[in-house]
Amino acid sequence: MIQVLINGLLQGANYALLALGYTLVFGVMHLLTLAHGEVFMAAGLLALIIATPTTPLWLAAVIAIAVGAVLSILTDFVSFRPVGYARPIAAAVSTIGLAILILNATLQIRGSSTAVAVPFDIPRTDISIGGTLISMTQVVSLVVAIVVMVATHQFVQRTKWGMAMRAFAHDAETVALLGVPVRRLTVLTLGIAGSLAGLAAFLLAMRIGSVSPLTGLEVGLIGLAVMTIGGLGSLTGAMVAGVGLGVIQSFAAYYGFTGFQAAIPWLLLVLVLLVRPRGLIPTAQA
Amino acid sequence: MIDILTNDALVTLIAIHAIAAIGMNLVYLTGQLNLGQAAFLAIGAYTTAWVDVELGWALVPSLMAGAVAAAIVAFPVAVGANRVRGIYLIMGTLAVGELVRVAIGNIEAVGARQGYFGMEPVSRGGVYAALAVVLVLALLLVASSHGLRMRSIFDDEDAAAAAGVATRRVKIAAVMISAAVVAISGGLLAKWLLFIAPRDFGVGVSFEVALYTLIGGVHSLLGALVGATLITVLIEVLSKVPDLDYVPSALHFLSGWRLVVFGALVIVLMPALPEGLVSRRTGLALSAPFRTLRRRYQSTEEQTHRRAGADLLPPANTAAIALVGITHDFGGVRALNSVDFSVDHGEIVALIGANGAGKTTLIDVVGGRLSCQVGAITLLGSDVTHWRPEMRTRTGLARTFQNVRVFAHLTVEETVRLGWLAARPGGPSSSDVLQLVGLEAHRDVLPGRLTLSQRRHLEIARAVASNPVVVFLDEPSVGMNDDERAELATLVRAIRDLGVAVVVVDHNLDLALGVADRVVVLDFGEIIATGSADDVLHDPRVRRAYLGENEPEEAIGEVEA
Amino acid sequence: MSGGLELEGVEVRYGRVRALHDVQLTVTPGTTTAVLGRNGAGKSSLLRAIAGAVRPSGGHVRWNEDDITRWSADRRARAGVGLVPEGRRIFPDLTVAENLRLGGFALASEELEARMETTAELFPILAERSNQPAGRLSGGQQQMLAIGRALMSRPDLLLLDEPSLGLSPLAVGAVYEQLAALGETTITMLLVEQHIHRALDLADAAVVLSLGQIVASEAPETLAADPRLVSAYLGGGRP
Repeated sequence: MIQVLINGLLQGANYALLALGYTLVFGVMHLLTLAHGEVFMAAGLLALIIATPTTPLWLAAVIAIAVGAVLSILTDFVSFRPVGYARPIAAAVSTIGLAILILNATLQIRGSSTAVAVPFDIPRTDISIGGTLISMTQVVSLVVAIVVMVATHQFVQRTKWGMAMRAFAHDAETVALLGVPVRRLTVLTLGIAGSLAGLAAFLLAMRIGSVSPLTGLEVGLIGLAVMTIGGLGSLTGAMVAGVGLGVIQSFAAYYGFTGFQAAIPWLLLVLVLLVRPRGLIPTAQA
Repeated sequence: MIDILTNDALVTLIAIHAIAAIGMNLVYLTGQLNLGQAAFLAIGAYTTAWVDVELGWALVPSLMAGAVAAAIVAFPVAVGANRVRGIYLIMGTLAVGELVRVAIGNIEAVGARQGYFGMEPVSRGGVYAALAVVLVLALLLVASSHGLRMRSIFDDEDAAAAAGVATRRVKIAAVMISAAVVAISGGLLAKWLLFIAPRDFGVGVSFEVALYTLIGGVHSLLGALVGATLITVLIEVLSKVPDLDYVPSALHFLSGWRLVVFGALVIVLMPALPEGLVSRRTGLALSAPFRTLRRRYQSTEEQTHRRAGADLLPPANTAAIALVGITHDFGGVRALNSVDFSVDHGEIVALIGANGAGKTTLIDVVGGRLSCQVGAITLLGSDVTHWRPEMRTRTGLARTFQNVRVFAHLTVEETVRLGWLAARPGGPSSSDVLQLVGLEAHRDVLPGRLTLSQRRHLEIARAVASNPVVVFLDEPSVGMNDDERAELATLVRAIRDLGVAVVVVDHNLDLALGVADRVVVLDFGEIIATGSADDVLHDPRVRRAYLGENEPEEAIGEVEA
Repeated sequence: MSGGLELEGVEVRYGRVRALHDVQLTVTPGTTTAVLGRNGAGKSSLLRAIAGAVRPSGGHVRWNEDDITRWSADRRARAGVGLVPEGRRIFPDLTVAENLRLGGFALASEELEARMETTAELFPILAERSNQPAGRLSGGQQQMLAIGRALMSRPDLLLLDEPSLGLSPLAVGAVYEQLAALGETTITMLLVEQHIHRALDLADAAVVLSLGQIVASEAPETLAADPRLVSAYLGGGRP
């Protein structure tokens, strides 16, 4: 049972990290980046390709995070700025183009759609929690994910740049008129979102031992659903919804509802939208 | 060797995709971006296939069965979609797409995840005939009054409601019609591929269908056809590149990279053509030959409607509109405080007030854009306090907006016609109204080509075309020069001469002087003066409110938040 | 003459609509200029073109001898141009203190703290409510906050767009007391105001805009005595 819970929490943390990225970008810039799932995939895949059997774990993680940040920032320069922040639909369509591009370029460079395995050893120490043996790697992953999520939340709530992000969400023009370098602000926002996706991809690799080029579309869309369930622009909502979904899915699988596994996020989304049309934790801006 | 230009299989596939594109176009035309079309494609494909395999139905009835099934499933989706907007709508439809796919994967009767087969193949002629029928019906729909209402919602839902469009109903109908059309495409696809599986209807397919319209352009059905053709050719043809002996081998890599090229193309295209490849203007040029025909039809319709109302007279003894005790708060700030105000038939009233006095709030409450918190609104003797905006318009209450809200993709003539569609019987025809406001020379022009003054006239024309009892004009003279203002004054009198009560809401008295029968001054949400323009001009309270003249005699407590 | 603000042939368009046309304006450093004109005359467009919220489609804006026509809004703000926008545009979900800190975003942290203290002295009411969401302030307090926020970065040029809009007479009085105190400093101000007498009392110079052009540039006393001005606002005559 504890193992089922831990699996669910890990899966949920994965969703939550991705959803936090969508939420940051949407919350601050009111734009949807549909390339985020592919950024997540490419970050994980590239890190595993670059890494060698002797690469330390932390370095592989840093590579994944860096690739995620760079690709995410690319979204700003390739899609958002050329189309213009005031055209949300055209901007979202452009990110679909970017998603198609990243996915297929990856497939072509790889030459196949098979998953890339982790080249280095994943530590296999176990610890005992309440009589159940739990993998140390899983516990560390979970702690890292939680710490990073809380840190992101604190960054937005407490720091000067986080304050500027919240203000930008409400009234971008006035923020610029006050002298805040808004171009750096959007790059920072996308950079953080991409880093979170890179971390999520690395944690996924640590959990299942590989990253598939096809994971971006599936997990990316679930992240999007999680953001919507949580309430657009609500960081807390994204975290709660992500972790909640992971745990629900994990227990559903444990009790044998495998046929409808893929439907759970969407079922949840429809139910939440029917009861609360603006998500679990609605924000003023959405 | 496969010759692409005579590749019938490719052309057939394009035709099937084009039907889906038309379906997508019909729903996005009402501003609803449905990213779950794979659901309706799948419902169409599976229903058509099932009635074919199990019941042996012929082509046409089996396609119809698919369309009906999709429309039925679309109804709750459409009602739900009406509750949400923007991203929530996109996400909701995405969810529907995924849910339908998962559900089908669990239905053993249609092969579950393994897929379903055994249907009769459709001939190429059958596909082309289906496309022709769908295209003609869609063209007729878009050109009809209902199509005009749909298109108005794309540009501005609020303004559409103010023009008398029942936005909710039109949007729900659009989702259902769209689902039926997409389902026909799905049915044909099933009978063309002869094998279908849930994985054929993933999110990627929904995105592809949406891209047909988004890349092709929503403002003309030609855009849907162009989008479907371009994307299908790009994906299918590039995959055949290595088989073509006239393509140098150096370019064979394009086959593998075709989707990368496609992605890059989308990225390059969106900033250059945010509205897609086929613009509204191209669409207008294409429909030009049919204009005379349509005009003749509409003019007959409007004459009949006018005669039907010839005997209607405004009821005596009731005011055109009466407001009693209207109070409105915005999060603790009182914008209107117990406003009593009534207007008689054929009267011109100027409602003036300094910036921030509550003028626009008052119009929004009267027009129904803001719900009335306290007080009552009586229009022609009936209590309309809690009516939807479009019902007020149909009953005789028209308004314009302060920042001129005309429909960017409707021509001048279409905009006036939209207003006329909500008209009570007995009013002027839309060509009469065009003449009245002096825009008949510009009737085939989009508002983007009009001056500010002309756009205001257009908005007024839309309001007058609905044959109102009373019309509220929100700051109609802002930014106009003296000549334009004089022209506007003449127009206001002409509208009054039609028997319409006119309320000119304005910042200053320029327009009111010489036009208004009565001037009402609003300050801090309260009426502070009523009388002739001259009286008001010299009222000390008015001068203080406007110019900050004199210190206030008594300290007035600030409205606490 | 060194420094100051200079506009040369400035034109602003919104699509086909021309909001400003061939505007020439020179503002002497340290003075206050009132910008008058009826609704839709282009007053806000003028301030927004100077602050960089809209890009002029023609002409030049010069500030302290730099041609800033193509500068972004945030760069202009860091060069000392502050705007108090129409309708205040404070951030209602952020606290009063956060709103002020945003105004001083470009400052080093010690300087920021020093400015926070100065602002607290200047606007005691803001200091009192510094940890409350700005949306809970009254209209007059919000206007004070908007002015205080713009002053945080120590601008040399302050653009004020209708600071009395929607305020009770008492609140207007309080706002103008602050502005009068500011007028005593070396700051240059451009003031758009519908309460013309308030504006002219404060101003050293005045211009009148009509249909996007400057149609009069006179001493405030002369304009104040001109009956045409009153009719331009209340109506009933030529601007």
